[in-house]
Amino acid sequence: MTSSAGKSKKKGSINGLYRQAGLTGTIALILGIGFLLVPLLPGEFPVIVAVEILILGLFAMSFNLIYGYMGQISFGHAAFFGLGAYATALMFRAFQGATGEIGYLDFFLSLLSAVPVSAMGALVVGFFCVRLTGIYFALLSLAFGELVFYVVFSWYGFTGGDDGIQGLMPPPFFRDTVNYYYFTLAIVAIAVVVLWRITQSPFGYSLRMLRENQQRAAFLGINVRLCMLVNFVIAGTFAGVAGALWGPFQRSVSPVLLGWTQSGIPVFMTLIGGASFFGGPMVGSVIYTALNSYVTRFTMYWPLTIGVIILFLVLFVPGGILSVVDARMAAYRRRRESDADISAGSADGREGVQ
Amino acid sequence: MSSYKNDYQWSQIVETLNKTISRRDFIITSVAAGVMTMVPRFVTAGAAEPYRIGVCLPTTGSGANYSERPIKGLPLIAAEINKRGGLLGKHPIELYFRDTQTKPDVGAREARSLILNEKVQTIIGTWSSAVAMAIQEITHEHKVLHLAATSNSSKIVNENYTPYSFQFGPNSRMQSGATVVAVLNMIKSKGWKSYVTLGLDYEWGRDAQKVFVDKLTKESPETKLIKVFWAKLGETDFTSYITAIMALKPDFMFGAIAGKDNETFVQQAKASGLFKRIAYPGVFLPVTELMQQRKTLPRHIIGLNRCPFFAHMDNPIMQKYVKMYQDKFGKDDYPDDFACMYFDALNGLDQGVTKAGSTDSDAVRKALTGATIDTCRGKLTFRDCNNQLDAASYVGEVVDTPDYPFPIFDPKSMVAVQGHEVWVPTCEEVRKLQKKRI
Repeated sequence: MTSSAGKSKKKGSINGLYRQAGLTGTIALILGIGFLLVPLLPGEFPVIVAVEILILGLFAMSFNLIYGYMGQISFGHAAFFGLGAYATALMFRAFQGATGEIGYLDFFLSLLSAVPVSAMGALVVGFFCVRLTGIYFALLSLAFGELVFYVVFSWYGFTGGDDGIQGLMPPPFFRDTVNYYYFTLAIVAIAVVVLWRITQSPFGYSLRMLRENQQRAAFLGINVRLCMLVNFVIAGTFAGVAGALWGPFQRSVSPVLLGWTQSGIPVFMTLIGGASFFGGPMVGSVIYTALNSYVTRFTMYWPLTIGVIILFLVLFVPGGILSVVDARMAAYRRRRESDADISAGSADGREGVQ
Repeated sequence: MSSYKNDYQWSQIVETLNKTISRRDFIITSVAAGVMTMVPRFVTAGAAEPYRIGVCLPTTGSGANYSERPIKGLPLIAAEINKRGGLLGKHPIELYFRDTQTKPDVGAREARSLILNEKVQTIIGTWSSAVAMAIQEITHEHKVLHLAATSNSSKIVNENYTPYSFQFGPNSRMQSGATVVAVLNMIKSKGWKSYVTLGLDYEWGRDAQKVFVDKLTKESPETKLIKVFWAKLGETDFTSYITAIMALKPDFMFGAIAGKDNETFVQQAKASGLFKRIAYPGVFLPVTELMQQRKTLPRHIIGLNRCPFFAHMDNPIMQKYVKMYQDKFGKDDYPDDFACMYFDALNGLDQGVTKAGSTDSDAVRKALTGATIDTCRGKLTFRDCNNQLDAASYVGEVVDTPDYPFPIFDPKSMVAVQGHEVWVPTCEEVRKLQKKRI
């Protein structure tokens, strides 16, 4: 066995990396290298798509804290994404004043304002939602999401109403697409590391237990509601961070960012990538956003395209793309180990004979 | 030139989709649409410096209903221009259609994709003002022309003004002002003394209601506002409002209701007989609605329209356009308001390029600023301080005529309120509204 493992390591292949780092580490490494190299691709558009992938990927990963780890589905998660986007946009507008320019410090303060705003929003909504589970949790989150949407949609004097807020031009350095891309990559990378630490902490394992059996968790002394609420607030906050990055990237925000259709995006991404994998939503974001960005160049029927993809995944790959990769890699590893065992056994046998 | 063949095929796809089709046909058509959208970049590769135009329109979402005829009509105009070699006789037009899904962030992304991938020099669109303003940010940043053919928020030319954007229809403020002008005429002719308002309870509804009430109070203080009603956005049952309005017996009512809500209200009000007792001036009734609701639309209500072809059939440009459109799509089909305004946008661009003698965006925008252009609505001038076209709003009574298979506005009593009669009075006031741009 030792010799076979050694052979496998020597190969230095994806399989070897997979053995060393596991699926999450392998995906993180591949995505990390890929993201770093994106600006080398010809043209500016791939970088713009990559910014979108990163922001929506973080949004989906924050959603997966609730769905994949806690076992509840939220159809109102976009409310926090939108709150983050609007908090940044409103601060932006306040700092811009009559000149239309924003300073670097003001820019960072605008982005930071998304954190407390989305956290407070998640705290209020979560306070009510965590009292329920299953479909009731989903419906209540949807109801709160729509409530926040209509407040933003209707409050013209403050939020710009249905028109939204335009003119969110970042400071000169960040107007360059590549610079903003690397800035987004840095923020998202930090957020992903923090999310990873959370999911690997005792709190993260408590969430998994809540997903599997809330009664047993309560019996073991876990404060179920508090645990769910804290997770809800963390998820909402990270969605807010993603939203904060969105406005300066698109140069505008609109109430659509808080609507139920926007809440569907992280659900799609998570289903595509795989909810039971930490990196699943980010992989889903790569596939969903890249498809969305390029398919629309060839057909106006993007909703039909994504509908077919989701249908295919739900029917044939319910665990998401990563579940297939994981299963294939595990099977490949088992086969190689089995082959190595047989060869080692034969060699031993020959040695015995000799 | 061959790109138009492609665009014609595209319009046929849209036409086909509007009919009942099988699932198999739908999938085949969708795939074909995708493939054919790719064709122009290959088949026109040999043409000398084509002029690329992005067309952002919603084919899904709430605005999809108003995109069909612009999508059908634009390739016809482009083909007409290309018959003489294209813009300046040497730049054949290529059109690139994109679905905005009636979502601002999608509109912004598609605008970026069009500019960076397809290298378009002009973007025409879109239907929703919120989407148009998101696109406007991108076109301003990339110094690409933005022709807001139908989206009509006044912010596009006032608060969010950029020298690269041009608005071809009457904006929202101008429409409200036009309704007041028309209502004042009717107050005089019909002796109206009292009215109620019913608005959707969100900012557009409240803003439109306020503009109307303020202007009417100023112009006709003796006309009494009896009561104000607010319905929630997405209301499906207007019965209680209709009953209350009928009980108050006003001479007329002003409605700040739009889109699907308006259609619901009109149908319920018609069923309860409200329109037989109370006049309802100012309801937005584009030609699209006149055609689609030909059987159910109550007659003698007073509607508002932005570019009705039937009001300008004495204009050779409109005659030519309608003929061209009907030759292609049949005698029963007519270009709606939206198609007419897209037509004017593309023709206006052609005139701007000719005047500039160049396709350079900065040269064209300078040529169009303050310019008078020939449109299917007659000669109209862009206001030089905000690029708003001096377009009229049309208010008239819905009647049947033997000339068309659907109701139109009564030609005898229809009022066309020109833009300059109702827009923000002075350029100084406009400039105060315009925020500074980087």
